[in-house]
Amino acid sequence: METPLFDLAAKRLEQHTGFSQLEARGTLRIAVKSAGLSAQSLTIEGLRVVFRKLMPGELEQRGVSDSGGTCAAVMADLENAPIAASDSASNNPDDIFRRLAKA
Amino acid sequence: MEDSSYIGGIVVGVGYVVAGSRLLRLSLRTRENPERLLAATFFTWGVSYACWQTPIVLADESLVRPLYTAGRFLTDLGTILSVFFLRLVFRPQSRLAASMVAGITIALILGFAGSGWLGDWEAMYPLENPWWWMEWGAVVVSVAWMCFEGFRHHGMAKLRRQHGLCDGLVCNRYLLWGLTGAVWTIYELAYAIQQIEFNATGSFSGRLDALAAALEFIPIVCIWLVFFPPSRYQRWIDCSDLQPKFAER
Repeated sequence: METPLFDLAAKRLEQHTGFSQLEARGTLRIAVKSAGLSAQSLTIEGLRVVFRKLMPGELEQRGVSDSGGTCAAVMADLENAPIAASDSASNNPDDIFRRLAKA
Repeated sequence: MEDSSYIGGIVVGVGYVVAGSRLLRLSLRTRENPERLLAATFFTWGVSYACWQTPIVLADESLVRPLYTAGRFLTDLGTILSVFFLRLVFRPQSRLAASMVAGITIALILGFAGSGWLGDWEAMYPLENPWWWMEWGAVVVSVAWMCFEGFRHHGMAKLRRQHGLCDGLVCNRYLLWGLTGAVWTIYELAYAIQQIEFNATGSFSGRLDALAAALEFIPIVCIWLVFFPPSRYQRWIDCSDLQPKFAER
């Protein structure tokens, strides 16, 4: 099951690109996977990287003209969303493996 | 078995107990379940080694059945705790992972009880005891799962690292975790051959014994590098060619 942050990001992407829900979620899922992230434990920090580095290329491939501007608009929406502040996913495997090495 | 073969077992057992104790101390500070589960896993496995080695060290045949049975029980208990850890850390929402945990637990309990029912409490006779294979199969699945998660997350962490989302040490820990699972899987295969040979001939081969001892020792080294990495090792990983291409954080 995807995080609420993934659902929100897909919804905003859908609004800003005119993609269908399926296209938006699929495109986001591909970009998230390319960054080595999981839709099940996505954080706002991960999404920043996805929308800055990977999503512009994905959108260009799909015929979106102003891919950079679109990504910036989606990120602006996400940064202002209350869910971005609350969704820290502090128990993802990276955090656990970082913490366990402090034994 | 070689007269001094117990020394390797004692070293590995002490390694697990110390690792478990340090993780237990961490869990008291953090109050988080992953460290509690892993501390209990390592501690249980460490004590199980004491059960396996004591009859050999004391050369007391009368202790073999009770202590080997206790050793098997603790090894199985540690395996159950380890798969709870795997599920909690890597797949907390997965129904498949929950089913695997349940399946492994049931197979271990049935394998243990079934072997006892046939009188093979020490689990030494795989050729005559079909329950032996159920218990062994459950352990193989658990360590292969560990191997799969370690290597899968290492692959993902390498991508995250290129984007500055994962540090090199965490990325390396996944690799070591996968390697530990891989070596344990190979160990289990060697263990099965060893037990079949014992069942057929009544003695252990020296070569297989040495191989099993080596395969038991490697995971302890990996576990120490994962959870208690020496500063020199940390510097070496930090300076490796896997440095992030983008340092944005």
